[in-house]
This record gives sequence, C-alpha cells and structure tokens, in this order.
Amino acid sequence: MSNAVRAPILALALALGGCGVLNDGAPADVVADIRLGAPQDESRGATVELAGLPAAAIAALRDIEWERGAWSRLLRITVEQAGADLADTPAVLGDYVVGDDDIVRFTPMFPFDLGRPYTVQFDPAALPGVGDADDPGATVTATLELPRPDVTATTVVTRVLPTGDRLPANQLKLYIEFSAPMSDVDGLDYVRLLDDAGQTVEAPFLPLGEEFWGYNFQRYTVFFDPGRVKTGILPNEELGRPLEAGASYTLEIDAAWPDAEGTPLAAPFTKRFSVGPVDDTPIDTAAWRLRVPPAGSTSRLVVSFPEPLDHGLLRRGLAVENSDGERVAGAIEVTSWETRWSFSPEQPWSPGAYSLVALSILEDLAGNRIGVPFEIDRFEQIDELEERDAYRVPFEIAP
Amino acid sequence: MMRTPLSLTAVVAIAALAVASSPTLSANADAGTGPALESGGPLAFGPDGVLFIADNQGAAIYALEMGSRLTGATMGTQDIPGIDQKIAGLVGTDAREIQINDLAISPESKNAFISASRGRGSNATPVLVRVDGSGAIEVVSLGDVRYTRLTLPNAPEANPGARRNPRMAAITDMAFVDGRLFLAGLSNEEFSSKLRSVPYPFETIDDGTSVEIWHAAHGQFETQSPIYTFVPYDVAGQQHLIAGYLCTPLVKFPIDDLEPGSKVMGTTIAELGNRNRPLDMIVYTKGGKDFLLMSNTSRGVMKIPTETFGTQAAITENVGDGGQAGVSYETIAQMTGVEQLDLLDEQHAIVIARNDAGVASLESVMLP
Repeated sequence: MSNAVRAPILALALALGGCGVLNDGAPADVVADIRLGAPQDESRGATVELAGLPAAAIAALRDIEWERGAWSRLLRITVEQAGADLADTPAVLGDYVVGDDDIVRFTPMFPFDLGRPYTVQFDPAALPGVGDADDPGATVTATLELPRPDVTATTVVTRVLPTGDRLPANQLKLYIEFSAPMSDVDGLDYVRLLDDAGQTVEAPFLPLGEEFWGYNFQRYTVFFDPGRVKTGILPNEELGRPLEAGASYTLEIDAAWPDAEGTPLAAPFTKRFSVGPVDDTPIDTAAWRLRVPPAGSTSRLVVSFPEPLDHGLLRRGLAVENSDGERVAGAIEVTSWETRWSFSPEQPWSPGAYSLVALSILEDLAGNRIGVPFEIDRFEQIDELEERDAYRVPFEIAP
Repeated sequence: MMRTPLSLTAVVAIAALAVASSPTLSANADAGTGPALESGGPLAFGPDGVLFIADNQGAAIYALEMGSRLTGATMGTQDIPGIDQKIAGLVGTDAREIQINDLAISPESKNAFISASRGRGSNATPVLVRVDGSGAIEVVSLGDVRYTRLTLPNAPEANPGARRNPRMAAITDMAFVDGRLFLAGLSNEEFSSKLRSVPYPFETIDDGTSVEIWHAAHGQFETQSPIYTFVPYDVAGQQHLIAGYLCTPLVKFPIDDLEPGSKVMGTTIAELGNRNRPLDMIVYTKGGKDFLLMSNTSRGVMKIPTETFGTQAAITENVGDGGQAGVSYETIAQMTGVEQLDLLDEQHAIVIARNDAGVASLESVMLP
C-alpha cells in the first residue's frame, strides 16, 4: 500500500474488500493511491479511485474535456483474461469523474466481476500541467480484485420430470428442475444416460443449443433425439432407439453444472427408471375419469388420466369453462406422477353444466396428442385430421 | 410517454384477438426511448435505419431507430482477431463470459453489428457492439434510442392469469422482406416450429403459421422440428423463404402462402444430413449464378447452387445411407468454425469463426 492521501472513502473501500493493491514504480513527485471505491451508481458497482494527485493536476483535470481515450491514457483499467495479451486488450469502458474530494473516479459501464483481477495503470506523464511526456516508464500499476464471497453450493436438482420411474421407449423429453436460477451453459455437457451395465448411452439427446431454459433458468428441457425415437428412419435404424423396452437406465446429472452465480450444484442427481413398450396411442379424452365436486363447495375437480401426461403442457393445457364459455378461476395441481390434474375454484361451484377444456397442445410422454399419435405420417393423412385448438369434456355440477 | 397512432392500432388489434377462440393469444405494440432489453438475440436490418433485435427473455422484438449510430467513423468492417476477447475487454470480463448471438452487416455503413451477452443465464446482460472499417469496436449505447416494441403472443394457455408463461419461445432467426418482418421460433415445451410474419411498423402479430415439411431424414411430415435459420429468396419470380431445419432439411415456402392460421406445406428441396444443426445462411451471386451459403454445427459451410430450387422435385421418400438428397452442395473446406455469416458486398462475406483454441474472430472472406 502506498503512502497516499487517506480520504474518508478509503475505509469504505476497504470494507468493500479492495485488496491486492500492488503499486510499483511510483515517481517520487506524484504519490498516488489506486484502490477500489464505493459505488457512485449502484447498478454499476464498485469504482476505481485514483487519489493523492497534486492540486494543480486536479484543478486541470476538472476543467479538461477529455474523450474516453485520453482518460484511459491517464488511468487505464484492463481486465485480465486467460490467453489474452494485456497490451492487446482494450481498456474497460466506463466514465471518469473528478470528485469534490479531489479523487479521480472510474465507474465501469458494467459492474466488475467478483474474484476477477483488473490491472490499473496510472501514467503520471499524462497528467495535465504536471506530467512530463518525455518521461516514460513512470507508470504505476496496480491489480485490483473484488473478493469473491465464500459461497457454499446450495443449488440442487429438485426433480426430473416425468417423476414416474417407468417411461415409454419413445419418451420424447425430460425436464430438469433446479432450486435456483442456473447459468445457461449447454446442459448436455452435464447430463449422462447410463444403461443397466453402467455404460454411457451414445448420443441419446438432441443437440439443440442453449435455448431450452424456462421458469427463470430453473427448468431445463432435454429432448431425446426424435431421429432415434421415430421408427423407419436412418438414425433409428443405425443406432436404434436410445431407450430399449425392458431395460433400465440411470440419468446422471453432474454436480459441476454451474448455477447463475457460477457455483456448482451442492450434489449430483440421479434418476433411475425402467422402460416399457413404445407408446403410439393418441390421447383419448374419453378415457379420462372426472371426480366432480358438489355444488356450493370449493372442493377440487379431479381428473385422472390412464397414463402420465407431459408436465409442462399439462400446467397450461387444461382449464374449466362454465356454460357461458367463461373460464373458471382457480388453482391447479398436478400429482400422482402426472396422472392426475386437480382444480380448486376460487369461488364455490354453482350447479350447472361445465366443460373441461383441453388444448390440442397437450401431449403424453411420447409426444402423442389428443387423437394424433406422434408417429403419424401427416403427408398421407393431413386432410383427414380434424384441426382443433381445443377439446371439451362436459361435466355437470349437481344442485 | 409517447402517444402515437401505433399504440391506438395496437389496442384495436388486442380487441380483435381477444374474441378469437382458445387458445388465448394476445400481442401488444408500444413505443419509447431507451429500450430495456432483457436479452439480445437475433438481429435483422429493416428500412430507414431500423435494426430489429429479438429479446427472447423478454418475449419481445424491438425495432431500434438507430439513425447515426449505424455508422462508425469509417465505412466497412475491419477484421478483428479475438473479437470475443476484445468485447470481453471492453465490458470488463473474460471471453468465456461472452456469448455471440448474431451478426448483421449494416446495408448503409457496412459496419458489423454483433448481438452479444455479457455473462450467462439469469445474470446475462445484452450488449450491442459495432465494428467499423478502422477496426474501432464500440458498445452501442441505446439510452437515447427511440424504439417500437412488439410483445410476442403468449404461448397457448388454458388458464388466463396463470403464472408467467413457462414456455421459452426462442426466436431463432429474423428477416425483413417487403414490409414484413419474418420470425422463426421454437419452444421448450412444444417441439414445434412457428414461422410468423409481422408488418412493420408494428401493429400486431398473427397467431403464427404452422409450418409442416416433409422431413426426409425422419420419414414423415413434421411440425415438430425447429427452423434454425432462413433467408428470403426469389424462386422463379415468386418470393420464398428458404429455411434450414434441424438434421438438416432445406425447405422452401412461398411467402404469399404464409397467412395467419393457415397450414403451409413447405417443399423439401434438399436433405443435408442428420446429426447437424444449421447456424446461419446467406444468398449471393457469383459468375452470374446464385448460391446459398450455409454454416452448420457439424457439417461445415455448404455452398448450394440455387438454380434448381424452382425445379427440384420435393423429397418425399426416406433418405437412406449418408442422408443426402435433393439439390447438390459443395462443402467449403477452407471455411471452418463459422458460427455467424452475413453478406458484406458482392465479393465478400463477414463471418465470425472460432478456431480450435475456442477463440472467435471477425473476418472478411471472399465468397467461394
């Protein structure tokens, strides 16, 4: 630490955790202190402060109208990147201000990263009225770093959907849910499928890129490669389905998967499941069983399906409508391994006719929709398909 | 707040959509200054200095009225080795924290615009970068940029008022043609593709045209395959979209057929192999002939002559061994690691290519 002027802000700077100040090469006539300072704009985080400049230089800097480039010749902040030459790295963008306390402050355009070193170079030769442009080599260099708080890994995989432990051989997708927001790295780097013998299944999932996050980065969707799920096509014929009927598998999720803070998961997660036959049967609403509550109550309407349905689509694909075609407000619950959908109305049920409305987007675990199997050859049969947005299952609340 | 005729038309549009049968869809358009983007996705240039940017997290498309910001000090785009490291340097982080989401070359200034993110996941911040002919790299400040914004329709939702749409509807590509902005999108819940068109200036969005193609490698017509990249192209005097799908059929759609709510049969004119995702495409002319240039995740950069696009019989049979059929192509061996492509001029494209060490560079390349 240099013998710099100790402005009151320094205590705050230290409290913020400014550390690693390694000034060297300071010329005898300018004693500068380079340090981290308190935020001037909370959204942009900590600042870099240059204190201890001579009064004449401060006065000149106050009046000067410098472009950013000139400022960065005086006080240059550069991020240290692995594999990148510092001299080749542009200065960090930000604003320079001379404060009433005679301190030059740099506020970065984006907050400094925690735990990342930044090189600060102060060139006294660039000081107006003080510097000697013919005296190179007097640059003062410091490395500043905001400490990375001790983070304990707390984020976990809360569940993998479907929650059941038996899936059809043509299972279409899995949802992985986390307890906190994650980083949007390619999730497939952290997911493995192992067969009964503990061998990794080759390329079971579709490399869709990094787009498949939902719920504020708390749910990740993994698609089985449909080229291997559907029959009669090349990848399927070469490699077979990723899941074989009669076999068991383990899905392994690596704890190294970073959450939004860059911290790994608190624990790995495994889900073991067995595989049943191919399911190519469309959803049939006639097979749904409804437990209808009495009028005057706010008891639940319970709809049971003969097979699990896709959780994501089930959450938004079913609703209750009254005889006027108005949606009934209420809360939804999906339970029993996604074979049961319950609806609790906000207001007591009135007697009369209602409909359970099922949007055509609903799918079972294998992508079969209401009346439409996933495997259908639409080129042959599209004219025969009735295109509908929604299907209605009527029910009656008895008086 | 600005009061413009635009917001009035938007109100009318909402009313019109509200009476549509379920699933419930609503779209909204508004205007303002200083857009607060939640994320920065695909880019497309529009008329009169407008730059469209998709905000997938915010489920919105912004039309940014860029004006003089489209031009740096110097016309053109200079090569920038290590563009990811340079952007990281400017925004004060490591190159590993920079995601490059799209590249678009301004038709006016020929400067390169890069849509990037600083950080990953829920902490990511969008950054729009401009590179000019002198090699100056600027982070474009949007604080005083006027914009109009189109909020995308909600996903089908049986329960109005349910918690915020859990479906991630990602816009994968955009193009502006004849007064309309075309958007290709996909979702994390329905494994399906939507191709939408929106007139600009924004009024409302249609409910998406369901697109079905004969996916030769998969042996069936699909609505359930995502469009990753597309380009407008005139085939035999009729404006078409040429779309690259996952695993990797190339499909043409006549634009006039893309009417709201309609089912459109795309024509599959090439099957370019499975286990592959197309990344970006452009069309150019060389030696009096037109070519489509397409970059891919695992099959390099393909140069595809377009002269048979009009006459190629639709592929309706399964494609066996090797998985290639339809119009022919040539793989450009010297173009490797190309993730982004846009046309600079009649002889050159600008690409962002990543080397074996993972370093991304902005480069001008001769059109092959």
